[in-house]
Amino acid sequence: MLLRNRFAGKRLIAQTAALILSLSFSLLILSACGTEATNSSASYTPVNYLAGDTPNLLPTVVPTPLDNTPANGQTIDVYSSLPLTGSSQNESQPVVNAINMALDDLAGPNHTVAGFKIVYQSLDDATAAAGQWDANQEKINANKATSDPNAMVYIGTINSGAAKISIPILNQAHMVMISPANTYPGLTKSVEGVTAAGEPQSYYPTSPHNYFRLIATDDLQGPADVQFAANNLKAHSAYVIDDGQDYGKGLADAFAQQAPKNNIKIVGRSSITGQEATYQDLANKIKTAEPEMIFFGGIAQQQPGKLLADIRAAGVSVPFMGGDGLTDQTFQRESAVAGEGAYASISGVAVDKLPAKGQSFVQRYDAKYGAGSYSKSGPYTIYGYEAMAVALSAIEQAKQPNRLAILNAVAATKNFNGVLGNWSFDSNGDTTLTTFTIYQVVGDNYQFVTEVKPNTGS
Amino acid sequence: MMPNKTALPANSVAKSQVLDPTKSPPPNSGPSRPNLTTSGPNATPPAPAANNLLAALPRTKRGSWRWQTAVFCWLVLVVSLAGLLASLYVVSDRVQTFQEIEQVAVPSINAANQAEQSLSAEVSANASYILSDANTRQTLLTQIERDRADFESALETGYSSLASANTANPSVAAASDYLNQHNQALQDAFALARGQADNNDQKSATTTYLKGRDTYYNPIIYTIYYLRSIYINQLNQAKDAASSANILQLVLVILIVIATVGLLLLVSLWLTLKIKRVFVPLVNIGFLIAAGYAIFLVVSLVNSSGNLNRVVSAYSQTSLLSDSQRILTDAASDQTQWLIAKSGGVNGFDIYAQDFKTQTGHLLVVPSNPSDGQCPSSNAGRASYQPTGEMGDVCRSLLSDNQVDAWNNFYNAYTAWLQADTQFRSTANGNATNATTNALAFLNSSNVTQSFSNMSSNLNQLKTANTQIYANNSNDALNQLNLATILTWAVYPIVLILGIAGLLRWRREF
Repeated sequence: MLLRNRFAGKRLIAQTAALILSLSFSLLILSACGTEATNSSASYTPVNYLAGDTPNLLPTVVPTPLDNTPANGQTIDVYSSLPLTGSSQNESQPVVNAINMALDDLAGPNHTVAGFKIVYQSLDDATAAAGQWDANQEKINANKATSDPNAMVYIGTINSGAAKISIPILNQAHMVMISPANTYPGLTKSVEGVTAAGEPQSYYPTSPHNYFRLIATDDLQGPADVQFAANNLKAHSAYVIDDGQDYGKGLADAFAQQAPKNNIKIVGRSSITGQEATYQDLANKIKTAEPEMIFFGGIAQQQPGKLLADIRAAGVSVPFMGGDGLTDQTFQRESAVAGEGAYASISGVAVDKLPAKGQSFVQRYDAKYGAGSYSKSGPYTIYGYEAMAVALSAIEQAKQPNRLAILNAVAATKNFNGVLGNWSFDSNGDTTLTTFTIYQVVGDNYQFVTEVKPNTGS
Repeated sequence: MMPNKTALPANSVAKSQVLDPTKSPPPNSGPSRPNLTTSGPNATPPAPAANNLLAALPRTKRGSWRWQTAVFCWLVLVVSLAGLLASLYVVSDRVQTFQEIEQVAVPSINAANQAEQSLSAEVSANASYILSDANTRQTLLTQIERDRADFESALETGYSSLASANTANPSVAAASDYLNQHNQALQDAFALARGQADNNDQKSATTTYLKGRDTYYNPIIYTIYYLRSIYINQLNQAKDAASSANILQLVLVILIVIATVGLLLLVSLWLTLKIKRVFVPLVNIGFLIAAGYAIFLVVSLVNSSGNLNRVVSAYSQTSLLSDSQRILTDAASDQTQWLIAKSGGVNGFDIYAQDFKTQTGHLLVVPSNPSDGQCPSSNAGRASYQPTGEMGDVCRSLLSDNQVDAWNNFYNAYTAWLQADTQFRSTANGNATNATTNALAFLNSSNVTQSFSNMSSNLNQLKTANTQIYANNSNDALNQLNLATILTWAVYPIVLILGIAGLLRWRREF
């Protein structure tokens, strides 16, 4: 009896200890993992990225070149089509710089991969007359690439509207297209209330699907922005404005659609053309609606800075937020003093949260183009590097100057360990990286606020 | 057997003894009645004379009439006082709106417009300085210093006017700090660039100038835009408030004048009926004065609303015209900046050619058939004018037909200037050794400078016309409202005196 009791007591103690240990371990695991919808706030000093502040980055990592077998006489052309004329030039030229850096890093000094000489050709899809990307010019660029028998890869575009032009042309030629910047969802998927009827099938007259992008789409950016508005700005109502263009309207639609699911009521919706002399009437309309925040979907060249100045002059002080279109310095300079405190979201993580390869790229970019150049270069620079890296990796895998083979190699990209981190293309051709970073205008700079990983569940 | 009739009590009066008023009452028949006689202390007063209406009336009617008179007197007093206060309130409120516009909004908007133009002219002069020779530079330096002084003076005026806008966010102080910080940085950059140009270090001068201009100029311009927008917004709010209050104020005034005029009319009619006279002098005169004043007051208020709308429209248009001048100057600067960047080997110099197109697009988009861009002479035509841009908005909102000529003169000079720009670019892009010098000479040639001068002159003409419209309408409204104020102080007391005197006078009529 006593023996039985002694053993029973020991068993009880052991069971209790095991329970305590397992609970502690579980708590440890949970605290480390976090939740699916994460709003992680930074605990470090904000960095003035546009002032050229250099955050404390990891030591430089020398990139590992691909198969640099000497050229066998065959050439593979890689084209890019980006707006290099007009106000977008400031964010497009750095993308070209980054593409060239990737070519230098991964294809060696002779620019060879798997025995093929890689020739990079930069095309401009903007015209002086238009001052921005031009549909006809984009069509010319796509046709030029497809008519070049050595052309295997097309990197571009910056503007989603331009991609609508070139995807079908390249699709019929089975040429892969990798975009560092397009965010309009309809190019790869159908999103209710956001994309147009027939999208994305209308862009792919033949199979296989030839379009891939490295940046998260607006149907994710909108919910990310809504989460920030609800959790950080504590807003319960919003006035939504778009610039009438594909990107801006798509982002605004995504925000407006997600907002009610986070208890944010849309109290007004307007569209601007970017050519208005003043926005006083709209500002007074917003004032009457009494929103708790204002969301703008659009690019900086469509005068959101002037819009914000009129909104503030009308006495509306609520937070103003937009997507990556507001990260252009054009917005900062036109909003001037009224732009203080405005928020902008960008796909991807902050520089000092990039993996070692990414931080190394940033440091080498600054070393090559001047201190602080990367931070002033716009949001798509690192994606340009990654686009060329993916293209060269696919060429290495295909080992043949065959468009379909290279396209299939790009489509099979899984667990790519690049400057953006470890990521894959999903079945739509979209990236699996879906973190967004929120910045705030402070003085003449953008300061990091937080990261948001959107939870698109209702 | 019949019941016995009960004998009457001793003091009762038999039916046959009912009192005869002509006879003395029987003893013990109750309180005595006055013995109506024609003389003595109890003598009956004589029958009233025919014209002693008051005495002839029964006591109750006589009391009612006096009571009605008193009531009318009090009504005239109360209505006159109420009318005086209400009219003064409405008129003074309208006067105050115009005075606030004149004393606060207009100087602020003028100051912002002046600052904007002075700065854009200074930037343009600095751009020209980089490319010019020593002699020309001295002239340009004088212009730069003058523009700088005008800019500083305009800001000082603007800040003092904006001091009352303490609810703005960002605050005026914050905007001032921001503006000063960027202004200082811009001046430092320009001074450095000029020094480098003087030392014949063209490349450094070009880079310093362009970097300074690209970084600091727009933040200053748009901070000024923000400050000006505060007052344009308040201008429009004053107009909207006046429009919404206009109806209520007009109703109030109409009710008061109806009450005043109506009361006097009622008194006139009442007296006419009572004393059988058609013309009751004092009251009728009071009625006519009140009626005339009422018409004048209502007309003044209605006119002042129209004046206010035209005042606000005229001043909003001066801001459009000021922005147009600034955009035009910036576009001209872009020509020079494109040339100095191109000649200085600056990467991306095409951005200035693109900015030129952006600025001219903001100014006015010329139709493919330029003749379609003329501003129509009729109101209906202008309302449906299609071309976009600041000057397109100006055309659509022109306030007088005589401004159309100035606008079309501007348009003709503008299209000529755009054509000259094409020739300028081809000269600069030419293969000639002195392409840059030739292009600069072309920019400074009489044709191009004359076109620019004509455009500026026409813009000034339009601005002057709007300023005149504002001044005329503001003065007309203030003059009329001030006269209304004087008349209000005079009319209501007169009406009060005439009304009451007229009511009391009838007693001496008879």
